[in-house]
Amino acid sequence: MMRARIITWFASPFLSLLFRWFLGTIFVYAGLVKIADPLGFALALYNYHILPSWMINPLAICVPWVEVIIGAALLAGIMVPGGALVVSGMLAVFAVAIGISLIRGLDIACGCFSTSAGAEPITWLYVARDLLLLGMGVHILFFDQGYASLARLIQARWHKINT
Amino acid sequence: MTAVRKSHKLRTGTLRLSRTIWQGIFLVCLGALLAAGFNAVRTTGLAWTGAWSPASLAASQRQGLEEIPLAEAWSLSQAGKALFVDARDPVSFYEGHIKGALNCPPGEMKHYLAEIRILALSGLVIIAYCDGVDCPLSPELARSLQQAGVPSVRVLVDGWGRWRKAGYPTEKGNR
Repeated sequence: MMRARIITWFASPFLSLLFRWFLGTIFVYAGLVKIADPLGFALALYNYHILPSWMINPLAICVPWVEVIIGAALLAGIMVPGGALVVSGMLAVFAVAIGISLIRGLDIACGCFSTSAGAEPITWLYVARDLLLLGMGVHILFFDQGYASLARLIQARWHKINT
Repeated sequence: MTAVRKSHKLRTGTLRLSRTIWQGIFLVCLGALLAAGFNAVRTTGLAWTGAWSPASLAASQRQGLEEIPLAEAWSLSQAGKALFVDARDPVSFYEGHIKGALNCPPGEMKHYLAEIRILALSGLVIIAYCDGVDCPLSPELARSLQQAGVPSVRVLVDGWGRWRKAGYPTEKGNR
């Protein structure tokens, strides 16, 4: 009985909606901070010493905008499964990148929510945070039912007009 | 019956997965497209190609500019003869900057040029700074100011980090 209640609560679409809004806000914010300072973000990417140098600028240009678009999609409830998939993929890559850097003993700034090179250096807590957010992304992927979704609202209005 | 239901379930699952993947690809492409457009029109846009090295970038931009030692910057500031211009982005500036500094990212220079020029002509030394030894923003700003005819422009290399470490006064917020 108790177990069934926990499962129902965990699989609740309302919890998924909460995660959607939370991840959406975080991604829009993180993207905007990086858009404000592309050079700082490029430097943060460079400091990871994982990417080949020719990839740094294109990624520094594109990643922040992808974050904003995906964040906005999650907030508005448009293309939620696709957005959740990309968010989860990005978070998994971020977690792996930070993990590798920690194992290699790099003392670098995360470049996650600030582009300042003088920001706090990465720790395993950052990996844990990314994995927690990744869990939220996967939850959305499986349990979102389109609550508070702009796409659904438009669809419903359209249907009403047509009938 | 069960086999039919199973096959239907499998087909719906595959359709859902394929739709999810296509949505993801669409969102990423849309983001990249917007990024390319914005990068093309903004003044602080990055180049798409070319090997990237912050040290070489910063070093090449520092050529022909006069650097200022931290001690001298501090004594000028004490004497009220310095204007610090923070070349970093507004968010970093908001989180903390040298006390009395003006936030002027290289791309925004034209908005502050008149004010900076008047202050420089009145005898203040303009000290551009940003964060990190390899940060190319302050050399870029200093060069633009020089080219716009502002006298006595100097660069405090790794200004924010060294200023903070030295324990000199800082403040938060906008200006």
